[in-house]
Amino acid sequence: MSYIITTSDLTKQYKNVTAVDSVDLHVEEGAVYGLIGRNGAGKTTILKMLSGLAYPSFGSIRIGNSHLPKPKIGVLIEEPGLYTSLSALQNMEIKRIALGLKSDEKASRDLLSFVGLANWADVRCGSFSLGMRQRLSIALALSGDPDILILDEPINGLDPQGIHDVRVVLQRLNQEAGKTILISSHLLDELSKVATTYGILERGHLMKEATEEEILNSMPAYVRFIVDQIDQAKTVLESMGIFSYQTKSDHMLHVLEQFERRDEMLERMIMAGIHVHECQLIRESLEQYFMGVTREVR
Amino acid sequence: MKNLFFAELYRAKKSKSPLILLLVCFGLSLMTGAVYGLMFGNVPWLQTMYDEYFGFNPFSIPGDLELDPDLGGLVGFFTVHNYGDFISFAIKGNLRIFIVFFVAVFLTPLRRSGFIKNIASHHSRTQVFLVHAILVVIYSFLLTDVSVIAMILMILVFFRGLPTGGILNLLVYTVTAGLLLSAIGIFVLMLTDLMKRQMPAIVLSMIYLWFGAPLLFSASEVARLLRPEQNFRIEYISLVGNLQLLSVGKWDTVWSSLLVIVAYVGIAFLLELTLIKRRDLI
Repeated sequence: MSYIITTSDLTKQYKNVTAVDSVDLHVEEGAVYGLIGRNGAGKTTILKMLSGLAYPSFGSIRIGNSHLPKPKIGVLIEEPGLYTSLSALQNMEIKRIALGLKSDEKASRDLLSFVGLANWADVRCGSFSLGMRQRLSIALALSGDPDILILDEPINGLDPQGIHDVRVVLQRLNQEAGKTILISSHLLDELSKVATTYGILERGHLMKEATEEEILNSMPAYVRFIVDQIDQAKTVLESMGIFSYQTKSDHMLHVLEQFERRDEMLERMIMAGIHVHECQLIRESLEQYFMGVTREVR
Repeated sequence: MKNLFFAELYRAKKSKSPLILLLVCFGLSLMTGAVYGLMFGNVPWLQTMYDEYFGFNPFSIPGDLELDPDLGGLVGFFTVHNYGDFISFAIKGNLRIFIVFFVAVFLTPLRRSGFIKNIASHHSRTQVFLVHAILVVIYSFLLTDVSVIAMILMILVFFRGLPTGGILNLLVYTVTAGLLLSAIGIFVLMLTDLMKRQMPAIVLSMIYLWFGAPLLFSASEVARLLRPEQNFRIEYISLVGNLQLLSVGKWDTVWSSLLVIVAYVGIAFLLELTLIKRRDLI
């Protein structure tokens, strides 16, 4: 595996509080890494240390690999950091010059257009709404064509359309341009639509690091049947060699194994003359999974 | 670091606040020069007025300044030796407040606005400090030059002559004053970097530069009474950067100031490279 970001024993202490405690993070190149944790879990502190805004009290950070020794990083941490007395375009130009790129108004305007601010390029960004500032911050993070994007709550303050737009942008950047994205968000359902790997934080500790597939496989799941003749349904299941099921009510049955055979189960029940109202594979949500992982610490 | 420097120059061009500060400084220097010029200069209608009401000119400078630059004499509360002193008096400590304003209005927003988050992964804290220190030096020289030009204009208007001591002395004075102002600016910059919140740092700088000055001045005066052979004012100038007491053509003052500039900048960089370097940017 080719990790582009690794941390070893990463620790951050503020006086008597340990915000981040011995975190070993592994972010693969080309992954969308979702950092999950409740408020105060240490997500932002980790992202700040990775982006050079905070100094680790202990431990080390390695950004880059043999393929990409010095990757460029685009950052969006907490609330947008903008010069409010200057226009959106001027903010973009300052970032470009600071990166050592030539002043290129067209490239900056293109990026502003990409985040939906084409008509606001020359407007002083002090007059922007929170959502517009967030979009401008995303454009700033994308300026200079970074290899890694570090985004802390990037959809905060966005309306549903904005959330959708950002998600599409992130998916495109990851899938089409191969960017590595490290993202934290409270909106777990939204995060689950883009993330390919997760790191679960609780009180500064990294509780678990797993790929989407590993999480799906370890998430409790069942096939829910709602039928009129429950005893006949049980007989059908047992005739198929399925004995792991739970009777939830007079009409509801949860099958806890062999989910891949659910179409066959349905077909056999119908052939046996059972009236089936529902047959659905149900998995725990990412939120339920997160609650389960962090429960033991609490 | 070079890129960050150019980015800050671009911002200066677009934000206009440094230019406005320079213009205000020039205007104030002209105004101060005019007030001093009216008091001490050769203005015929004022001479007539003084003669009419007082029978003498209360602000007259004893002796011929141009012929005897080291004459000295008490004029009001000030001791004037030559036109160079006139420049020094007129500029006074005004420039200190402008350099503090420059740090507060132009340099601190990089962190205060949070824009530093966009560039922190590309530029280290030390690089940011160094770029800002360079900008402080450049701006200090601009402020000094603007003030000196304003003073020369006022001397030409009210005294109809150029400052005594020659161009070389004037140049040395300007460079020393610029460096002393730079040192104060870097010290203020270091304070704002040391303290997490900018405003308390600015206030602390103001307290040091303004309210600390009379205390240090009193101390230096007491010391001077005890040991008259020693010019303790040099230490006082060096500590608070009071340009009022930095005389044109006074080499001992120049050297003393240069030494303390080195000390100021040395302390700032030492702190920056050790203690402050490991602090969080935001």
